[in-house]
Amino acid sequence: MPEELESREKPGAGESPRSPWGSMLQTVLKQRELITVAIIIVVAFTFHLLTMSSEEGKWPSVFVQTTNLKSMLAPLALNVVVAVGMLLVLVCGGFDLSVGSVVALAGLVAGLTVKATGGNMLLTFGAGIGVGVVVGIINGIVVTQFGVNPLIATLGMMSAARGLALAYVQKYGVVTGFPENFTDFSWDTVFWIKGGFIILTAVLIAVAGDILLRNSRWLRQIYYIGGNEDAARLSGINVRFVRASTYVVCGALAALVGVFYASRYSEASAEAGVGLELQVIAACVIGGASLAGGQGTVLGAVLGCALMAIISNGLQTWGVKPAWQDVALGVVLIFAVTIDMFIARRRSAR
Amino acid sequence: MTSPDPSAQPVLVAEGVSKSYGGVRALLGVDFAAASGEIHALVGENGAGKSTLMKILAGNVVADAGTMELEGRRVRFSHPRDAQDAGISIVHQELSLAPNMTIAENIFVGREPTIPVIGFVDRRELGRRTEEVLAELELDLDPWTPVGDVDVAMQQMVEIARAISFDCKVLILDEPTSALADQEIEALFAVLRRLRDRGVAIIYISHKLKEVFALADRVTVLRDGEWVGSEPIAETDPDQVVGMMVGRQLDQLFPEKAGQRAADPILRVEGLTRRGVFEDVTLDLHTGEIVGLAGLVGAGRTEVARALFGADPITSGQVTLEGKRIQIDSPQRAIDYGVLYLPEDRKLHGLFLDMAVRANVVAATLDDHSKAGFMLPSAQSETTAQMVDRLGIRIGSIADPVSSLSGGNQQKVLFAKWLAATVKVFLVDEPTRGIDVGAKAEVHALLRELADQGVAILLISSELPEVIGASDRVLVMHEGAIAGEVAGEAMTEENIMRLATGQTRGTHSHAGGA
Repeated sequence: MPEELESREKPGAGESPRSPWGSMLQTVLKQRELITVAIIIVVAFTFHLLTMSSEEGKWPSVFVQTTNLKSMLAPLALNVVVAVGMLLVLVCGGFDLSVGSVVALAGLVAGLTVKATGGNMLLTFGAGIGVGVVVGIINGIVVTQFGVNPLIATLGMMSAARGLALAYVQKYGVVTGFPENFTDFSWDTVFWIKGGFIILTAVLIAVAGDILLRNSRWLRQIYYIGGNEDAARLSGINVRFVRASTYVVCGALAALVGVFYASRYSEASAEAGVGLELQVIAACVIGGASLAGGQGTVLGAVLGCALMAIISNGLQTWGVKPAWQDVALGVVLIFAVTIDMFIARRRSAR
Repeated sequence: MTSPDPSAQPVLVAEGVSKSYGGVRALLGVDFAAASGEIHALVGENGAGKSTLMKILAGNVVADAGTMELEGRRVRFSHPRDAQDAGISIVHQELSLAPNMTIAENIFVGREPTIPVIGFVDRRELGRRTEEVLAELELDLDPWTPVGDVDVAMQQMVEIARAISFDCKVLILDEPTSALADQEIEALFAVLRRLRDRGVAIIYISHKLKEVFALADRVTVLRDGEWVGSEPIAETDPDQVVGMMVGRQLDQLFPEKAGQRAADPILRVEGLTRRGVFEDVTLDLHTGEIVGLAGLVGAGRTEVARALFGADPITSGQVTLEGKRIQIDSPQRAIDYGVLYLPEDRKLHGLFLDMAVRANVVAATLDDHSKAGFMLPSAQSETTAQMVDRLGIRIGSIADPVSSLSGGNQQKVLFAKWLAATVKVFLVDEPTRGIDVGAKAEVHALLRELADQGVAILLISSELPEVIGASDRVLVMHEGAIAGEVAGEAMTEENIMRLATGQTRGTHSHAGGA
């Protein structure tokens, strides 16, 4: 089969010799999630060592104390919910920078609704998520119908949605004074964990997302679109509709998190979710999603969120200042993407 | 071998060149010599090793074994720049120009003349040198035009200008005509002949024997990485060269024509127009027949097929399928109707290269492979296994990415994607592009088999022998319109080219249905 060699690829393609080590490496690298798991274990163990109290390796270290681990879960769960939505958009070859702003705007609308209705949870969630759906539809239409680059479209939306929330807060102040049933549900103990409702929701969404992404006809299509948009269109896939739908789901999930935020902090401010979009995109990419589309799994995104949460929490328990935590997260992100580039190059070198 | 023309001095001699990629042999002990003032064609099937040999000569790839001599001196290149400095330049099949930069900047990229001390680009000198090079090729181009503003043929000339701007002794061209129309090819040949007469050794890689026999002085054939023969062009003929390429005499490349077409057309297209692209296209397709659609590059063949498939919009026109007026406004609709389109560029428009063979095969039939919104893995595997079997696709596993397959097998996967669907009308666009002779024959047999099973096929091809050999009748397009139809005895290259170049018009006759 020398036909393959006549490939019109770049000169030098396919020159790496295939050793048994190479093929083993290939197999491991194919299971992208395994790499993330391995990194998580190494990082967690490192923090365990770093945060052991001075009395000769006393177990447990500050890091692995149950209270510390439990405290990580709810914030992690919130990020996971947004990350699942973001992953769909990324795999489909898009981008959504507006999720952080949606969190703020949806929280605000939910807060107003819960006060106006005297604690009607159904209406509150409906109104909050509705905000995300509307934003998602607008994002989807602007990107797919008008053909605006998703980076620009959602950057504009990020600014506009945050601006709306800010305009309201500047005029009427931060929305607070919620009925108790609304502020309590996100802190109540479910399954021995404070805030268990949020964690349970996140687990359900992640599991459902993973199953749907692996098996559903609707979400399988996003891999085709992300892999080769033209070919997907010429294969009869409704590229515009499917792509728009990913923005709607992403917006809805971000809005759900906005409602949770409002509940947890007992207030809806315009600053909720600032910078969330970058954290979540970073987590997806660390978990193996490709910014070029076509690649990524929910499991990977969840693991990416977990790694980021562990690093951030570990540094905190070790006593590192928040500014330096950002530096560390940035380094991790660049490191993860570099690894992916390395893998992609090996793949294209075949 | 016969002794070469005594006037021809071998300027570049390669001996015993071998190269393997990870255990797979690409070249084995190949000897090759190029002489000054000679156009030397290098031919062979896909995978014969032509490109590898040229990459070695041009310093892009380092050979495992073998020696090279340039003007009698041993040379060894480890980088394309070494070869360029020594006087060997290569023009690759894909143009490597920066469209937003000017012609001058593209020709002298990386070696722009600079003003001493301050190091700025000396635009006067750059313009002067560019004009010099362009004048040598007798090209009337403004050095300061952005490359993206000139057409593909001129871009090719700019590439050649860049190549010869390195005091070039050996110029290698890899399939330079694949994107050119006939007049442009003539212009290119004129330039190449001029360079030859100036004493440049030109190595010309091509699939197209017609070009080889029109242009070259000598032809060398490679097969499976080995040297098969080298002949002065005057002492051989295309049949002999084809015989050397495939190692056997080709007598039956095309399956027998059936001519068993149904009385009524299954697809009737009337007055199909897309303003500015094609106009008033009217054609009938019958079940059981293969209709060729010929024409020069840019005549609008692909555009018509894409419009029929709903991939591009139309301005006006009527489409009737099985007696019913239909409107195809999207590929989904077309697939529902059983009107399918196999795109000409399989990597760009057909395949999902990083995805598994299985995922590619079922890409157009996700509905048939899912139930209640969920994909059925076993159904997908079953369909894929059937297709692999039916089309003889050579793969390791249906979970392998398509990118790991050879060109011919990739093309078969593309066919499998559509055969998994219901096909009534099959619009196939350049179905054998870039695949080897054996795979081509298989594709032709497959098309005939489908036609016999009651599929109407429209075959778009730029290779006239293919159009003539595989079709029952041929429609010819010229500048966005159907210029005429040929069938039966009238299906000759001359007749088709006459219509395609607009020399005869209005001979739209439906006579002679085989």
